[in-house]
Amino acid sequence: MRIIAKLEIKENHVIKPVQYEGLRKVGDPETLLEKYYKEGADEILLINIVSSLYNTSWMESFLKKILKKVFIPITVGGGIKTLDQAKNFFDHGVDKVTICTSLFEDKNLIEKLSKEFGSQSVVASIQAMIVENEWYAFKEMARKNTKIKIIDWIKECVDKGAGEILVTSVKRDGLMKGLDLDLYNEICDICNVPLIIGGGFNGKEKLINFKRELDGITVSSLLHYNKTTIREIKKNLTND
Amino acid sequence: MIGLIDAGTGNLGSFRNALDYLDIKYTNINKKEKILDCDKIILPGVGSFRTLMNNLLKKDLKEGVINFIKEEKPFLGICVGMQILLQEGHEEKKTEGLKIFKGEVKKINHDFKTPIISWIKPTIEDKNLNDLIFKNYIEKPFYFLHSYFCDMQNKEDVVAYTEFKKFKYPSIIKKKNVYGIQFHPEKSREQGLELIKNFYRI
Repeated sequence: MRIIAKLEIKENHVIKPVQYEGLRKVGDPETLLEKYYKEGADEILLINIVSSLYNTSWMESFLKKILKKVFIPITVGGGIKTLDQAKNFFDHGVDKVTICTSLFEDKNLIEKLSKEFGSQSVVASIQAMIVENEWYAFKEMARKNTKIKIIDWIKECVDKGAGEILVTSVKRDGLMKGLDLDLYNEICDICNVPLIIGGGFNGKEKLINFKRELDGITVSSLLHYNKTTIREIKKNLTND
Repeated sequence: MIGLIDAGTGNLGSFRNALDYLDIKYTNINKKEKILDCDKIILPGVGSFRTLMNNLLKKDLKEGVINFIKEEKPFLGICVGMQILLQEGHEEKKTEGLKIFKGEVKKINHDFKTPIISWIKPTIEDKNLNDLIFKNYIEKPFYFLHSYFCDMQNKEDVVAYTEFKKFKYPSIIKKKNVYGIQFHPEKSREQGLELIKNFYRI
């Protein structure tokens, strides 16, 4: 299983929202990224929280610098709407792009991206929340319910060519109180591409109640607040 | 000079970054004449077996690459760049490969999801431990990302195997000066960069 260090970025700061709210600054992107690289992260996930012009150009120059010294897979997300934007990232040496909101606005985006760059480079990101006992896919930093059931949305994304699915439990994100077992068990059987889950990982939990073996976990707060290290996380997981 | 084949399937960025980091000078091969400037060639694998083969044909690079290999100059194929060294592939539809190695590229059909996306430690066959590519070898996992594997006919061409969830398949192949690597050394930390450096020094 892969441990993916997630860095959410706004105006050259790593920030960490809680339940997708608030923009608390937690550190310098370059310092943190290199730290997680050295600690043994399997992958890095960089999310532009605000897709303003400033942030986009900042991200580009940041990537140019970082990709010359960090040699593990890097996924970038936040505000990607077009093939050109994705291509630009790939040309710098980024491995995958992850997209959430734009997938609902341009229903052919996954298809176009996977055809052009290969499905392995397209990660569909899903913000999951429960409403009246049903899991739904949300968008725009979990502000809007798309009213599409999460199971249907995962199937659609995979059918269109997403190489991986990343599902974050909105209500758990940033709390470090444990991953969303119910959510995972609901979706793991219908997802036939690698499934990454995130939101609330506490680093010590035992994963025996998870119906299927996880393909990957995103970790952010735990690392930003020095609650543990990637090495420790991996040690705990292999002792399961 | 080391040449990096630009078949137009995009994303050479990762390899360029790795070579820059290692301070290795390289040239992009985007037409056949440029092959003549090179004493070593790397073919990074991006896209499918079929698109890569078609692009090599379209750019008129196929014959040049085969001749380069026949002259026994060092050649390194990565991921799909390794796979097209075999006789044929079955991604999208049946496609002829460069036929340097005997064998076929088949879809991984096991009791786990594909693609395999994982960090895995390959097992090097004892007789190959002294191969130049393994100088200062760092015994750590490498980054794999693939849905197809090389089903090799001649076991003596296989330098290292990898096992993922009880499925064992070739991860490094070699014949004379041609190497094929299934994983991504350019995305595999210092252990991956070391292999690239070794290839450069062969």
